[in-house]
Amino acid sequence: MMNDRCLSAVFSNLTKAAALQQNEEISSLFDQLAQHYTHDTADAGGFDTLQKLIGEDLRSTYASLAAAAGEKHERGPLRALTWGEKVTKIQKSLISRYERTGESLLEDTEVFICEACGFISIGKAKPKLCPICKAPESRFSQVE
Amino acid sequence: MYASRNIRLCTKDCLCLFVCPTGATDTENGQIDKARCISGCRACVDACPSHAIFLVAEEYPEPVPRDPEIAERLLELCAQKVAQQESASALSTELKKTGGGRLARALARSARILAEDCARESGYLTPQCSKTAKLIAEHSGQDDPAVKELYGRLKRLLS
Ligand code: SF4
Ligand code: SF4
Repeated sequence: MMNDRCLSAVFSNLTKAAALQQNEEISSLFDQLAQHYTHDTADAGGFDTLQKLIGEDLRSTYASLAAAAGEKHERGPLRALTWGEKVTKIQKSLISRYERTGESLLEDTEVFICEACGFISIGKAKPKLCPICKAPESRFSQVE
Repeated sequence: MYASRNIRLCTKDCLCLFVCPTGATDTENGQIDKARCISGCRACVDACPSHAIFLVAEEYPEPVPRDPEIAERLLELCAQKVAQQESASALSTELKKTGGGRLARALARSARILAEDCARESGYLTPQCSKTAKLIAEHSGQDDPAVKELYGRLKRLLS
């Protein structure tokens, strides 16, 4: 059986897929299932805990999985892994910068996220083009 | 295959109003009236000078099957990304409106998007595909009647 973490992600992704297909009823059912499998953790740890988890993906997971996907000509997964590794490296570098500089990193600046690939951008305005997946400005949302 | 309009691209040139045989393109809310649209007609799609209208399919082909080993490993990565999202969300609650809180919220959403991408690429591509159908079937026997009902309705709508 698939674990709850995967179930929640599979279903929230299908929520988006059904919305793109303009089927609101199916989208809402998948959304409710995604919520059902979403659990909060009480223990936040700190940025260092998160950094450790991210570091594990970057150390070996992406490289070995991308190599396997490349060998098997699985180009869809390879695309996800290529973007995913770049986005994860940016997550890691932002956490490092925040750990070094603290709150000044985010003073007088906005945080934006690319809804297509997860790229995080810090700056005054939305990027015109996502540097990772090339999605246009309209795919960015501001993080409050 | 019904027509749909991207309002952001529409320049209100109105050619779609002239070519539509049923008046489906002429509505007060800017959306095409699906109930009036003739499936597969596409007259408005071809006429629109701004490429603002497209056809939405109602049937979707079975995706090319994924290599099982890659699919399995993508799901493992998916679970790791959700764990990162959980950790970042908890951190964002703790740090509230500070800069660190905003960063944690961004990291949580970013990890979520990566998790969903892994989930999709492991083969759960569309609501209609066989892997999704199998997943729904496997989970249909639920103790919680509300959850059972969600699976049941999905099964009916997607069959
Ligand atoms: S033809 Fe295209 S640009 Fe003109 S009103 Fe219709 S959708 Fe908009
Ligand atoms: S596809 Fe044909 S029937 Fe449907 S809205 Fe366009 S012109 Fe009208």
